[in-house]
Amino acid sequence: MPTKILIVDDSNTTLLMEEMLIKKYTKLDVTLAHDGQEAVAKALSEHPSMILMDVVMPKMDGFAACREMRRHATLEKVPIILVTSRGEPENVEAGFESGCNDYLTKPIESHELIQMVINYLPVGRNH
Amino acid sequence: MPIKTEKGFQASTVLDNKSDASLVDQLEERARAYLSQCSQTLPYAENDTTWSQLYAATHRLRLAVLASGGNRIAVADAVLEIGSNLLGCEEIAVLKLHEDNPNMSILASVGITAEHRQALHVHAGKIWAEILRGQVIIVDNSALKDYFLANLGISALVPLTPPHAAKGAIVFFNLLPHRQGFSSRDRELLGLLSVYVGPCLFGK
Repeated sequence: MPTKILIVDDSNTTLLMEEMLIKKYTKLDVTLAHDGQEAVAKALSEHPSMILMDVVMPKMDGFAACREMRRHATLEKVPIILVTSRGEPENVEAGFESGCNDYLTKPIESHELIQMVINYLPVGRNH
Repeated sequence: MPIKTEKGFQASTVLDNKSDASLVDQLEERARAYLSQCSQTLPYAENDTTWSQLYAATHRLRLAVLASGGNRIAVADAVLEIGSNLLGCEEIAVLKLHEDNPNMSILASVGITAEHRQALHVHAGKIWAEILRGQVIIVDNSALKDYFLANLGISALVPLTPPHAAKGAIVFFNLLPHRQGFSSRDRELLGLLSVYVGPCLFGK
């Protein structure tokens, strides 16, 4: 079964860029969500192998969504990477406290994004 | 982050369906070209991010025009979103130049302060003149020629130029703390916005 990555962002611009790069560089299937609530629902129903998630979003932010995901046994060990324009130490700390594995800062650099994905999911590598 | 769209914007900026269809086609063609460039770029090449940003921005503008149904608010929101997500700036104003006097109105904005608004109002004539030069300006804080814009806290000024003269502009104020300034790569994206956002907002 193909490995799947869940990308979560309320910005269509970011979704377009991340989806395109991940499809270019990996064999991963991609599924999308636009806010934290939708992300939790899709993570539970679609069982992604990795989650790439924005922090500042409507309905439920990335920290809360991350905490909620970690409450479920099926998502306990799924790598979660938070993506944010706020890279200040207190935000990074809040991210790790919510249970994320790693952090990426916007604007996204393609090589940083792909390196991060491959680090956590080497099986998905395309090149 | 709250996006502010000024009253009256919707009523004064409705375009016809024919213009929209032509714009959507143009944007689709550009997005496809950028996607092709990106797919031909070697893994981890420096310009990989550039092509992917240009693809995402063009595609996003296309979606905004499609969603707008002639109402330009969706386009202005897309511009603010592109600025925030691809350029690392969360203090942005989209301006419309008045046709009969050297003044301008803020069509949409995000993160700008009362001081920014005051600066745009007080120095409207001089900013208007800079916009009418039709060149994307990335402000160099150490250059004497950019002293005026730098002093207002402006990082970049992007004229919106439907084929002939500028009808508006995007003003980027302070960048996010982790960004040192706009780069040559950002210039590509600012140039794209200068060419395509004008027709999307004001027609041809």
